[in-house]
Amino acid sequence: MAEETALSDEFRAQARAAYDRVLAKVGPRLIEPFEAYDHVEIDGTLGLFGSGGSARSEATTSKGERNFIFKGFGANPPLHLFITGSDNVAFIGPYCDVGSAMVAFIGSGGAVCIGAMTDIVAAKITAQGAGTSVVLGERCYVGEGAVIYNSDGHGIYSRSTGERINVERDIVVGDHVYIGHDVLVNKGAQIESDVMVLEKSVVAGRLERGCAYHGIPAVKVETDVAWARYAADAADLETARRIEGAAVAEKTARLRGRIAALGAAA
Amino acid sequence: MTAPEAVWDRAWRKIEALGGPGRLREPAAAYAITAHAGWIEAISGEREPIVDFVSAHGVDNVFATGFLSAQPLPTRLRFEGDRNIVFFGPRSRLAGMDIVINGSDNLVYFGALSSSGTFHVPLRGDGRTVVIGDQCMFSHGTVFGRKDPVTLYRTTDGAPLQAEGDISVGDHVWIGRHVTVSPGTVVREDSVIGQSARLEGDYPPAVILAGVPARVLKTDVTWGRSAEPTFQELQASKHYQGHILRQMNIIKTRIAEFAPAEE
Repeated sequence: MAEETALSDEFRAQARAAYDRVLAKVGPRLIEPFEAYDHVEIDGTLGLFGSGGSARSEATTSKGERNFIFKGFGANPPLHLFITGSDNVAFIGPYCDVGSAMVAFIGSGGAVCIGAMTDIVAAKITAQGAGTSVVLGERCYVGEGAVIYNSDGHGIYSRSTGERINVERDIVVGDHVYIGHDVLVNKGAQIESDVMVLEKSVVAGRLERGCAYHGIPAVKVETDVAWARYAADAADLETARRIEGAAVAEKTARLRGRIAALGAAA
Repeated sequence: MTAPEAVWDRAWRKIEALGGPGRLREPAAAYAITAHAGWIEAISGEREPIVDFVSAHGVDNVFATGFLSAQPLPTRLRFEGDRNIVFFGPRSRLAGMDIVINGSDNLVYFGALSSSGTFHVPLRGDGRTVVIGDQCMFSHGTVFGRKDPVTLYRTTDGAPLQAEGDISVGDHVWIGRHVTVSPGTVVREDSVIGQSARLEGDYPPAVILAGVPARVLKTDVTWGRSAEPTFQELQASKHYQGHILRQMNIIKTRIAEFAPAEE
């Protein structure tokens, strides 16, 4: 563990470059500037950056260099990290509530980005291959036992050409997506915003905005459907949305305040 | 707070009034009552108290186990509300229970001679029941209820999309590994549920169900704990005759013992 003053300019520049890669991946979002990460620890060759609190992980296996983890303000990430490779970056957005998550990088140049206020009960998220990414949006819910993995983990090849036919493909999950418990999200999945994936489904391909999917493989089961967080017992959608909206507005306001204060200080 | 005997008396009336599967049980008098803060423990026969892994925020909750039931493995039993009842029938073998009740007047009932690996009952709401019949066999990782605290609504009228009803599993049902039984599900006697299925709906008796969502793969089936060439041979087998029927007779003898006391 190192004092912030002991961080070299080079390390800081590498961390900022990693953070810039996150920003490039997720676009203009509810994200604090790099200056907000006031807690820095070095675990071997891994840089852990926390905004308003430690980014310490539960258990870490890290082989490689210039790997960085960023934990946003108010996020509660008991992360297990498994990294084999260099130049990987994991970003856990502000106010993420994580019960237990394994974030793994197998390869170099990977990115795992989890948007603000996304809740994960217990999931395994893996970016495998060179320069791959798994991006989750804001305000999602990921149930216990979900696996989001951009690779099959092993190669499948054409016997005649020798070419690999199951290459890694990035995964993109939009905002406000419900991913039920024990759902498997496979390589190349593109889940648009406001989608609901019911329990135990297996997802591949594109899931269309605002629809509910279920099954193995997951197929569209509902179109006129919506969900809300923090309001499981609400009797109707309007009430549920009001409860969710209030909770999200409160956190958003606090976060905007913090971002503005950091801007004023700079 | 109500007197422990009165709590047990009220709980028993609710158990007795229960329709459907799971009928083999001793009368209320067979149970010894111990009062704890917020809940009582009712034990018939020998079993260690499970007080160390129970938390109760509320009053008059009940955890009861029948004669010869196995010691539940220490995982979790949480009462967040009042007058909830968790009942394990005689000779039940329920390992690794994880029961979390948010609400009041709910009943979770497992019948006699049923066995289960780890299972999770996340129950939200008031006055709901999860009733499992006698002689069931569940593998690991069964979920009875909605594990994700998420509700889906129809956008057309804003009403909830998914059923929030009670769960009923009939007598003699075999549930494979990692099955989720959604609220409102009715599974009937002699059925077999394949691994990783997700049940939602009302299914006919004596069927094989599997898939996500589950569908009927086969009808006119039954099953047995030992694998004999025919069902007739199963019924004649040492396991069935020497074990299951003997256990049932032991329970029936005990029920008879307590019967005069009831008069």
